[in-house]
Amino acid sequence: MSRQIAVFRLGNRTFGMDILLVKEVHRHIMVDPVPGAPPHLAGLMNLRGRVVTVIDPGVSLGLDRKEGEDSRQMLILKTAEEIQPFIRDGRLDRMEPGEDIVGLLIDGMEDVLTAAESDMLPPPPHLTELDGDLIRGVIKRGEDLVMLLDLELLLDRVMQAIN
Amino acid sequence: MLDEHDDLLDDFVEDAREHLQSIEPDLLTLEQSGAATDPEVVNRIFRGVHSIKGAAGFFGLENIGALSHRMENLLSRIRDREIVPTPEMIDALLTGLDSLRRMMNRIAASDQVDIQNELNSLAAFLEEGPPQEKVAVVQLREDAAAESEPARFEISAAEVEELTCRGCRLYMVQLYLNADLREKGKTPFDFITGMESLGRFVDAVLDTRSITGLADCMENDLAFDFLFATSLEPVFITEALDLGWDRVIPMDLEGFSPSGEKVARVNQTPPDDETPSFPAPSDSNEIEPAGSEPDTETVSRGPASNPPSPEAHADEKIRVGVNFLNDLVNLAGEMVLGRNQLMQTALPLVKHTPGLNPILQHISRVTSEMQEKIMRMRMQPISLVFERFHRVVRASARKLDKEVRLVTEGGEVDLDKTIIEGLSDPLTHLIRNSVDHGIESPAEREAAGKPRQGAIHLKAFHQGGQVHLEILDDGRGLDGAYIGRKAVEKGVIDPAELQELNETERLRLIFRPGFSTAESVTDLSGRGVGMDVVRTNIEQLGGTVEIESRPGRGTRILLILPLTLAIVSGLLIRSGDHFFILPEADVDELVRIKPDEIQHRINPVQKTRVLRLREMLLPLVDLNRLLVRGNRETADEETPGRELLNRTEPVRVIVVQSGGARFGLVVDRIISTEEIVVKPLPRYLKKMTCFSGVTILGNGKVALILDTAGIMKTASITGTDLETAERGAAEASAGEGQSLQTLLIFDNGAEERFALPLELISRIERFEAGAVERIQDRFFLRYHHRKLRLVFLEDHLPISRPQRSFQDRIGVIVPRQTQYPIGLVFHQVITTVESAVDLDTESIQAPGLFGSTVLENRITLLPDLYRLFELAAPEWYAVRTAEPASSDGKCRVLLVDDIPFFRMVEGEYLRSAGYEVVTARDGESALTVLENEPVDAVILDIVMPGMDGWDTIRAIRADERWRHLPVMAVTSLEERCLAQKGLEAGFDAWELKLNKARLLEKLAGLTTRERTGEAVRRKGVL
Repeated sequence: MSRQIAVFRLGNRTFGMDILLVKEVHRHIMVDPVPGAPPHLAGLMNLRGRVVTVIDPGVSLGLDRKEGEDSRQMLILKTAEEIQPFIRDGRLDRMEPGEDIVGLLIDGMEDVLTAAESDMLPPPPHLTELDGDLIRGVIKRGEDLVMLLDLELLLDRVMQAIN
Repeated sequence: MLDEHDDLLDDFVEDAREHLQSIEPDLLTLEQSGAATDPEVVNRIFRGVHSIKGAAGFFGLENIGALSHRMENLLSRIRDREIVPTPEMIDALLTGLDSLRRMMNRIAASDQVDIQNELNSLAAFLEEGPPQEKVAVVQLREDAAAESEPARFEISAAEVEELTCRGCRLYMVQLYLNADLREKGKTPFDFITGMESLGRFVDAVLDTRSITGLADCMENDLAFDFLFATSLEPVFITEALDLGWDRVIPMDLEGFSPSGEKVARVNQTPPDDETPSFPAPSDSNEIEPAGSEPDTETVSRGPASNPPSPEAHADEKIRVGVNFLNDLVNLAGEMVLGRNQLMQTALPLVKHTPGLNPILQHISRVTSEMQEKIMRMRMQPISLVFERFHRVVRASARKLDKEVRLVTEGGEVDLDKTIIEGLSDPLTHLIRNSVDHGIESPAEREAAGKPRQGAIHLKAFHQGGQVHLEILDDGRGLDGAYIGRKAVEKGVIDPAELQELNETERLRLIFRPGFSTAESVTDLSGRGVGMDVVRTNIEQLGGTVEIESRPGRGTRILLILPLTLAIVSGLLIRSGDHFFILPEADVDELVRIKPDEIQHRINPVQKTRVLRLREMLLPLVDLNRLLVRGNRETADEETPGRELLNRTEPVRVIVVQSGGARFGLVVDRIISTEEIVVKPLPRYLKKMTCFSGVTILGNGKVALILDTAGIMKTASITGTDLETAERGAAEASAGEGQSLQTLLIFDNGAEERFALPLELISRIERFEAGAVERIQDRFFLRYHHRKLRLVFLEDHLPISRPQRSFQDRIGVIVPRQTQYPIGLVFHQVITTVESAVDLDTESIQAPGLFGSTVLENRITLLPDLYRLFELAAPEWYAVRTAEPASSDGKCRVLLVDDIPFFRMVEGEYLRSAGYEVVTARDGESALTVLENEPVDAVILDIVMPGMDGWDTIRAIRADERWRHLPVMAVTSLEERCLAQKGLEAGFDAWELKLNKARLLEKLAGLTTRERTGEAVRRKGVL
């Protein structure tokens, strides 16, 4: 069974996640930071009257990004409830992203990749400059590697970071 | 089948619950009124049970069907006045109702529930004997569904007879689950009530055979066959039920013509019964006119059907999911934001655009109204919870053989859904308590001259933007003394603490954990779930509990609740670049400190700051600092300009109250008061205890809602901070070169004025002079079941003697920490002042008087309280005097205290006990004294400017010469943990200031031990 992978940029690298997890992408973002929060929790945002927790995966991954904040986009994830049907019919692996709406700060959306299960390779052992735990696997796209994010672990880390 | 159709099943359960809820109070009415019950009530019960039975058959729920059927039989007999309801019958029906409710809760497992008992107890009243003869009813027309075998219904012959004698015909109605219900958005109940409005629904059978040949039948659609009795022609039925003509099949009833006997019986029921014509309102027992009943949804469709009466529409309701509602609430909030932005943008254009202003105003008003209405949708009448208490009271009273009546009032008061749900448990507990412990047995009540039947009033009303819920009983009331004793027995409170409590405070002991008033553990309450749970539950809902009681007359418990949890009123504040909301309920007052007052009113204390507010010292929490890195100042202050003490702009402090503690929250700006919609904190922030929720502001920004308890915890404001606060005060006063003392000024009913340091006083009580009892030359007052010995100033001091009459009110000052209950009588309090006491010990001298001073421009006498007590009750105050220790024969004590008043008073105590006293005003001078003079013991104050008690004891213990020198801390810091800390730091004893007896006793113990050269083991003396 093939999957559709939403590809996005963080710094000069490309990452991806199953498109079924993505609810929408925003260009104009106004994040209200939370004082005392760890750096990868960028803040909160008002999305049509609902509160979105904004997470900066670049910080989680340990990426060094030069790009200005203005050019950033926000990738809004679906909630546990919204992905339930996909888990039930086997199109998504079991995961618990929680009931809260989460937005990921990204540096830009790219295309959508269709990949078969067999295209997904284990993460290369020497991923430099970033936290390899958060990478579930990679997909080759021409010359680049699209790194698949372990979303559940990423969210989990944010929760654990606050003490 | 159950799984497949769970949406319909959910609807069924929800509808059935509603029916059950409305049946219960009706059953209780039935019990109370007996044969005189309004027939409509019986009918209502009957119809409710009947509908459940019908729908249960529809879903193949056998147990629910069987039980409701049995209940229906009993009810029909009651309705037909064949039997008069007895309490036992009502019991059986209520038990049945409970079983139905339980089965509804776990609908999928309902058929595994054992309901034999319920069935049997119902059967006992039915005297059914042999099962009724069943007859098979078969289709009249063979051609309609020729391919399929006709479904067979079995109904009792009696029922068929009864139906036919009413002129009803029987029809089989076929219904497809998907095609007829789901696709038309109907529930099974809709359908059944629809049938009921036309005739009588008799039975239902699930037809599981695959049905072919019907055009509108979907694949795999489930079919049901209903047996339906009505006087209507088939054409009306198909029209009214919105079914195809081929779905209504007449049944053969030829063999069941009415017998004369049956007709006679039917004729006993109300008149008008022999003209069954459409819409058949004639026999109110069986065939209901559409729309006569507001409880069930009446379905009337098509012009040919019964035209609905106006009431049918008046109460029409639609069920909406809570999620949907919450989305609406969100959208309404969003709309308000949009409105605000629109107003801001459009306002400058108003001048140049004719007609724009009214449009803006209109939109603004409509938006506000809409938001308000949407918010109101979450509100529900409190009667939802009230209803069930009739049952609770009834059951509890029956069990205890008591007679209790529950009167509810104000059921129409609306509260937020969440609060309504949270109220059920605490209210149940309170009401059970009233029945169980409050209301006496009938005999007891009669003996007390009360009516046999006790009454509990449950009343809801609005007051001051909150909802008050009152539970009032006319029972025996609560006895503060008894509660106090129990509390001591259970270790909830120690006896000394109990002494301090007044009656209301004693009653409130029942809310403490570990307390339960139950004399014996009964089935009803007192299971260890105490009133503390009630209190916690109510407080979790943002409410408070009050209690008052008059022994023998009754108890009143008042719950005060917010209208809604979803919307709270709060202060919008800004701190740094962040906006926050502080719930208004937590705010005590707002304080603004001008730049030139900052140095004077805010004092640094170690790593925190304290604010001097009136007579109080308030620990300060700087919100900016706290949220970024905890409340402590760091050595390398990154932003020195932000440092409180150096600010050039006013400092804004919100005085916050949380769980009995107060502190000041320093914020940059207080912007406005806002009504906000509370949203839960995202799980990613759950561990940040400073926040309790989030909200979206009018400007679209997300603001965090501050949690005061969490802030206190994070800032670690505890007893130690109060210590540092006090230290701050001392430092501040040292800076001003003065020592301030809070004094209570009072008179004795004559010209003289007196003053006592507030530290000495535990409390002040007022009595009628007539209450004083005299025993020989001693005076006593009965007070909290103890005798309080009274001391009169005029008996011991050279002052004018006041004239007192028996009606006069007198005041009694009860000092802190006396070994025996003793109090000083005075006339009235004049005021309290904070002042530096310039004590004059020369001008006016007398035993029992420290001296005089000038306060408020008048000469004021300072009585020596302990000396007065010694004079009045010498037998209690035989003081151990110090034995000679040093070369000159006296024990030398170094007394270190920064406040001259204390140096004087305590010096006086020591000298009176035979000690020689050397004084020092701080740690440094104390060390100098120790270097130069022999000293046998040290009494050390903790809170002192410069080198404080902690630093001093460390310095003393660090020196080999003084390692075993007895050092005692004498302080006004009361925290128990501090005493422990003190002992660990090297003090030999820890005592509170101005307690002469204990001071001397401990000191004597220390000096004796030191002298006899015993193995010194510190920490054992306290």
